[in-house]
Amino acid sequence: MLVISELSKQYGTFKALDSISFSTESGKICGIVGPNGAGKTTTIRIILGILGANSGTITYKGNPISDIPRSAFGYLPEERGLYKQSTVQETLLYLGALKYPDKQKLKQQIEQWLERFLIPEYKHKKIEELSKGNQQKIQFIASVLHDPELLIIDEPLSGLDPLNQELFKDIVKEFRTQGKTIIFCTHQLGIAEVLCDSVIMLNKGKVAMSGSMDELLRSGTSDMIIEYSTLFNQEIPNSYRKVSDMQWIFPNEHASMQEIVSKASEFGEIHSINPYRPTLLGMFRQHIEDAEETLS
Amino acid sequence: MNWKSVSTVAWWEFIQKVKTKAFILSMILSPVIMGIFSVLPVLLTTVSVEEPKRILILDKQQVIGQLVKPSIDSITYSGGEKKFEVTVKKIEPNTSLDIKPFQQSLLNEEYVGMFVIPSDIYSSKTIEYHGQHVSNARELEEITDIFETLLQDSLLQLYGVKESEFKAIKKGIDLKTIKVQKDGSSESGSFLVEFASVYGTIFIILIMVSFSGQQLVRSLLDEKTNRIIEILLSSVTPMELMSGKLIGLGGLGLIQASLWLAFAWLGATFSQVEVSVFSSIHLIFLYAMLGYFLFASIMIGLGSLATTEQEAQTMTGYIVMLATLPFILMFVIIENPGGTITTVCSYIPFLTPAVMSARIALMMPHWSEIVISVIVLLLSIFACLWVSAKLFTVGMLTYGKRISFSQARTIVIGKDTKS
Repeated sequence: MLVISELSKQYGTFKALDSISFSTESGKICGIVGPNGAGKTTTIRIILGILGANSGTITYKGNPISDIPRSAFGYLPEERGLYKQSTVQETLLYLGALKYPDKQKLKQQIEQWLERFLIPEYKHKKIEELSKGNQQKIQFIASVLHDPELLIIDEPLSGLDPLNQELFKDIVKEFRTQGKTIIFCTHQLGIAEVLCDSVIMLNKGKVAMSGSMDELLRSGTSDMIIEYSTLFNQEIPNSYRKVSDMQWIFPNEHASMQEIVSKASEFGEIHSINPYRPTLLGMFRQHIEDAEETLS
Repeated sequence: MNWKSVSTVAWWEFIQKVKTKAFILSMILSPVIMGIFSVLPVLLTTVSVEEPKRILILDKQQVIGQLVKPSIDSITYSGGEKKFEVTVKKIEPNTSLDIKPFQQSLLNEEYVGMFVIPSDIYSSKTIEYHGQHVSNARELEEITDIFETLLQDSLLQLYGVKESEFKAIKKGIDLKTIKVQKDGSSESGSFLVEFASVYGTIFIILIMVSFSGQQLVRSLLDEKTNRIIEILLSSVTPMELMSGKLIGLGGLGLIQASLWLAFAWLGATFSQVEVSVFSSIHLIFLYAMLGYFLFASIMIGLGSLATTEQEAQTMTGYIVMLATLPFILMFVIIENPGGTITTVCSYIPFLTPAVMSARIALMMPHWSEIVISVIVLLLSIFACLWVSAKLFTVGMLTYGKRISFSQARTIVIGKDTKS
């Protein structure tokens, strides 16, 4: 189990992380989501030991993360880059050898992974000769070649075509089945919804929301979303959540459907009534709005 | 520190650079270019590319001009082409010479130079030279020698001294220099060989610093630009990565220096010149390597802060300039290898490798001096590596944004190495 407690990081006067805590288990995919500058990359860099924290602790399987050998980690950074002038095999052998000493085993692994990604013929090609998508495959292979226990992948699907996105998702799911701990960072909240078992939503260095994906997506599922065709002049109270000018969420609060319709009709002509299905994006928007309201 | 990781990084850096065309070409071309630089200027002064230079001699003494003319006319370039063409004009000794028209003829480029021989040349022993420029020292020396010889011969006749007697009196003392070694042996020495040895050892260190150092900074910048540094730093510690790079590229410099030394050794063997420095080559290599590590450990810290190729080149340029400082001291070292200035410079870390190597080439210092200087260098290398390691992580993970001096200072004196 990876446990992050009260982690803070400051660059000068800027608080990149403000006492964040979360945990994730083996055999689970934990999504870290949030807008640019939320603190995702800083969190990852601290877990990997690339950066130091100002305060807080990180433990893996009960031991301080600094005691865990780096070979236990696999990391695919968001920033893509490889040695353009080197061949695929040279690059993978080098990056693999930094964490895994058995050269022969590495060579076998390289063969297997290239087969898996359907690019065995690129083994002796220079990186610069590969398409962007194939370079991304090579970088992914580099991060998993040594069979890490804890895999951190940052935006692994960006820039991939739909077929390759599916291939990547299947492989990530396989790692979960193998009992690896996976941290999946993304801006694509839709992908996080279908792939992750739990999610940490960061905003401005703080945990905006966290929990298991099932619980989060189930919360508020008895609410109704009302779409109006026209609105009366009467202002809709703040207790009803606005989705758009013509769409509002009415909380169930144990009221019957008739009571909800009756209440909603006071504010305009109803076009449609549907059960509300929360999304991470919706939740995130709500969080931002709530935070802005609190500030104002 | 995981030495397996260090050796993996070192081997990668070495093998990636050693097979590049740039390295192979530099191995061969650099000695050739150096050779051309040292031989070409001398060659050009001995080869004719122009018409003979016209010289005017204004002779108030009436005789000397005509006497020196055949000798000056007979001076040739190495290819046999005539170098000068002399015109002699006799000037009445008792008249005042109006030099202006003759100077005008120089300005009109009718002549490249003009000698004025006074009537009292035997007593004054002075002649004047007029020219649009007076930087042709070698040519002037050739002509002056002719005047000198002629005057001497005339004076010998005047005083009734036989030429053979004069030569016997004039013959100088040949100084035969014997270099006494600490092991009791002795060998003949020469200033030129000593000079070449010192120059060569300082040059090897400079080459290692400039070539390998620049490769080092370029490698850092590449990894920073293509963001692969994130993967590397998640696999190895900054110290392991830095050490691997230093060792790998140091090996590259060592190969280059060895090859050049091999050329020098072959040259010395063929020309049958005894160069004592070859017997202490292991020590020279030790100082060369330590010098490289010292300068490279600074470069790696500063290089990690660079955001563009141009910035990186400027930074490395300053370090290379620092490495050239010992050239200024070269003559002080040669004249007094055991003197106070040389000894003090032996313990100033940036000068130690070159000064100690030069001293070893000239006169083996006491072993205690070698030990102390090596300790000074090792401590300096560790101090520079410590500072560089602090700058490295922050510098390498800061993309497209320049780190200010005050930020760098905060990083270095801050408690957290991974700021």
